Amino acid sequence: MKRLVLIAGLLAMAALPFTGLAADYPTRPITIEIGYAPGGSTDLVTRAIAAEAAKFLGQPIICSNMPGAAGNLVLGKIKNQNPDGYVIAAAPTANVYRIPHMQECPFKASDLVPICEYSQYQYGFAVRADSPWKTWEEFVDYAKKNPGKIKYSTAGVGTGQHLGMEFVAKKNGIKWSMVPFKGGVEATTAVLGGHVDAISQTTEFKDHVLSGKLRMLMAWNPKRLISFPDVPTAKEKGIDVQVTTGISLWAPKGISPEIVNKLAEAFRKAAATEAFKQVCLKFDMPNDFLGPKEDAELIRTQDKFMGEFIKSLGIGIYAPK
Amino acid sequence: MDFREVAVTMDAVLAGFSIALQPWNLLFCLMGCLVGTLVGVLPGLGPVAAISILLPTTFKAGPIAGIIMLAGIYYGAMYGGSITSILVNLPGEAASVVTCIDGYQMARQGRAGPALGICAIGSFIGGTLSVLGLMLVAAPLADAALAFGPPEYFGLMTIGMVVVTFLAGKSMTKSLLMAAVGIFLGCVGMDVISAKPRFTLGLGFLEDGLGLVPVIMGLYGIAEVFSNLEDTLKVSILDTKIQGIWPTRDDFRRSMGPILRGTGLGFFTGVLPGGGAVLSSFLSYGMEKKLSREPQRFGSGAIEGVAGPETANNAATGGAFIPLFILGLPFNVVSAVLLGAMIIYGVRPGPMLLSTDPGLFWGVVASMYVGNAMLLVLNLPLVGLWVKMLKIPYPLFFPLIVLFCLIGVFSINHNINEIYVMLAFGVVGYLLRKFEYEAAPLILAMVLGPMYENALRQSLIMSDGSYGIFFSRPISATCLIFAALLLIIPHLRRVTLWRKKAIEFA
Repeated sequence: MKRLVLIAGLLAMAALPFTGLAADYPTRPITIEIGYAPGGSTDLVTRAIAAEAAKFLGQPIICSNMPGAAGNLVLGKIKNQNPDGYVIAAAPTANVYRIPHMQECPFKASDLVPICEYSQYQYGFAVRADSPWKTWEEFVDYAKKNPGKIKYSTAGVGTGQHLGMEFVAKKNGIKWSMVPFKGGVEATTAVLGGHVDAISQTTEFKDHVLSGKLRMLMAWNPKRLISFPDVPTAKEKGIDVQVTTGISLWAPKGISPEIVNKLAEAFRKAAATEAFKQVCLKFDMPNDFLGPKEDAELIRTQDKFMGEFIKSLGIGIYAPK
Repeated sequence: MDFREVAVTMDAVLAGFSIALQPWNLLFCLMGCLVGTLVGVLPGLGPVAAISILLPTTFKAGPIAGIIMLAGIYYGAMYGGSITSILVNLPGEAASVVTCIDGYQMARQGRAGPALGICAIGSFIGGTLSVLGLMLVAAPLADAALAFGPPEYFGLMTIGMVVVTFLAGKSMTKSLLMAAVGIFLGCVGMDVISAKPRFTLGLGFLEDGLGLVPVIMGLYGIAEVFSNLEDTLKVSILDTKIQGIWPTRDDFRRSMGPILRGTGLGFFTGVLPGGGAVLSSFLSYGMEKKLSREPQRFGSGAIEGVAGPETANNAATGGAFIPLFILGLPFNVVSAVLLGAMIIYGVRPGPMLLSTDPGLFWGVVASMYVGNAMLLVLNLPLVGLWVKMLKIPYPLFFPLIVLFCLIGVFSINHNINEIYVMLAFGVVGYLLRKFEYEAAPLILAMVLGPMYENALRQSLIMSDGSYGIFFSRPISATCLIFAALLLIIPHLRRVTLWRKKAIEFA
């Protein structure tokens, strides 16, 4: 007990100077640790928005990369940082609300404070062009009548695109099986080669839809995709589940709300710039902006939903030992 | 292949040359060829160690230049290895073992020059023609490779691993054991199917799996230093004046057949799962001896016995790029290291590579063509220089190797733990050498293991748990039956031998 009081006291003391400094934040460069390797879409989109946000903050933003464990490594590292707003992380939002239900994570949702979400990945559902299914309804209809026949590929168990399909299965009493692959490219190869019937994945298969080898039946994103304006969304089909994820900025807990708001405001302005939008367009990434409150709310509701849903599937940390 | 397809391929090939001939990429190609020849010349240090040690130095260069350089080391080593074989009677690397037989004899007869010359010329022809073969078959094969689903991959990998263990080392039991250890090491990390960490001992950095590069640097780089500290290789160079590198007309007449046959043989052995440079050189030597009208000349300085195998091992290098690039499957250790490198660069080899990243594929292929020409120019006049390299005292190299390994491993993930992994595997590698265990099956199984497991489990999901899927699909069925035969046949022969002996005793 004595030690606890001591720690609490020290923490309080440690927190004092930061609240005092929040008013003139930032006075020195800010570092963003990106949870993915350089050169990928996550990296380049983050670098693009950081370059714009730096202009509004009046301090340079340095982006460095800390790839590993699909973005979890950086979150585990960032939670131990000084919560002064000078070192923050960029990693997918789902790493905080979905992944902890799938595997042991080096952090808890309560260790981290979301600053904002600035860009989302594109997810879709596609079948081979020579398959009989022209619409999502036809596909679901076939799956209902032929339990266990349909196989579809994704880039892994417990990904949003897998859970979305299982959500549909549960609601409609469908039995189909997912064949997991190591990445989106392998999952695409499997559907092109006819080894599985369909693919539910980030739209890495876009080129094959455009060249006419695959037919995209549905987009998982809440809004229609710029690159596929004619493809209906899951929402339009009455499927209400969060498959997609975006990229969020994260700070360690204990950061003053004032600093969070300052950062979020700068990034909100940066997200509206033409330069940033162009980069998102290049990578086929929608760019809906969520402020700190909306982001935290998304994490709270999704954390609850994913916990219950993943448990009901009996996978991830709820899998029978 | 219709005319349009040919035109499209030609277009891609020319685009590839325009990439390979950019000064930056040319520079990396040259560096790769130089380093490759050097490690080929130096006994002990092979292309595997060189590629993994130099891999981190290419990170800033980008994937194309990086892979061009690493590939250059691979086929450059095939060239260099022959020099040591001929002059020192020590294979510079494994694929040059057979070159020692007739090459060294030629050198003793004062014909080291033509022996080296025919090596360079044969290697050039073999290397160049196999690149041509790669160009011709890559595009149609990539389309055909789509028919390869998880069961086919499973079959191919089974046969690949069986052949590799079959060929590696003297004892099949030992190499099977090494392959088993490799599969186990490959299991460390996150399981793709259930997303659960396995064998991570609670260590966070193991969740991404054991890094291939630290393991290889340990087993090949550090272990090499350890075992050389114990007993330094005594290199005694045959003191012969190398004169008249250009082979005589008679030499050419004798060598043309072996070179052309070696090219075809090498290319196909390279493509086959489990085949590769080493196998092809042995096969070529055997074939030339069988076909020769004067087989008694073999072993006492027959130029055919140098020309054939040296051509074959270079042609095999080109062939081995087909399964690596088109299927993403490495069937020899060097390909495994190259695959590891590509994954670090973010390049995913597979049937899609040709359409998603044509610049990389054709750029690298064209660079191999360019590189072969460079090697020809380098090798013929520079042989003397390479021979001098052999005289550099080994102790000068060791600190450099250790330094490169330490910096290299750290620079990949900036993770100090990987240095510990490398050092641990250095000790393991030293012990393996002491007890005559081959490291090659271990490395290969470690890379193939996770893919192997995935293919098995994906197939079983596709078939709802029925193992019949492996036998109802022709490609996987053929592979599995062939693999089973390979495992059984040696024992059958032993069984018949025993039976013979038993009969004799009775």
